[in-house]
Amino acid sequence: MSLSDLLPTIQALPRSDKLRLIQLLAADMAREERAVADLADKTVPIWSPHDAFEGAATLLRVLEQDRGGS
Amino acid sequence: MPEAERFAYVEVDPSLGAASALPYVPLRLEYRQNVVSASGLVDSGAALNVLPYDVGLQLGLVWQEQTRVVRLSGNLADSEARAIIVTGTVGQFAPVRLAFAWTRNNQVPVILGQVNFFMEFDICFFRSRSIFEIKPKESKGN
Repeated sequence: MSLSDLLPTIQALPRSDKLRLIQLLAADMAREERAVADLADKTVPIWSPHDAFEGAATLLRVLEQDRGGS
Repeated sequence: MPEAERFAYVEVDPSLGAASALPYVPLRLEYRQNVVSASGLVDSGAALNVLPYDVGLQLGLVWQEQTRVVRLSGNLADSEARAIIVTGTVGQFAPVRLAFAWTRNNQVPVILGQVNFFMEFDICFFRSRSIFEIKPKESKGN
């Protein structure tokens, strides 16, 4: 659903609901901003051995040998 | 063919909430008579499975007896690792053989990577809903 779909419904809301909606959206956006800012202040370890293909090939060989031996 | 099992992302840092959510799956590891319950990071970016040192010790592995060297990369490039095979069970699925690079490092989680966790299971991530699904691979005949 797009904003243009929602807009007539939002505009028809009573004033108190519009205020509540503004508060909800502001809180939601603040929470997202805070999460990004918190991440920026932290050192995040990336453990993934993403290019350890030689090691992966070793594991595949070991699996194959184990299958042959069992 | 078994149905996929669904798991929720785990928020590892409550202060960061959804920003720290990662796909950890509970699994049972078995080596000879030793069983360890662990939580593994399902990591499609990892070339291989990684087992932290202490988990290997809990499984009864002896470093000196494991002679097949595995070369790691990234943050783990400086850590020695050995190839080991254990039996792993996820949810209600049948146990599978999982090959791990058992590293001397203890700062790393159990990592479930392409070789061979992703070769044994089909996995779908639905990050926007903070869930992921796992099911055993389909046999070639299907």
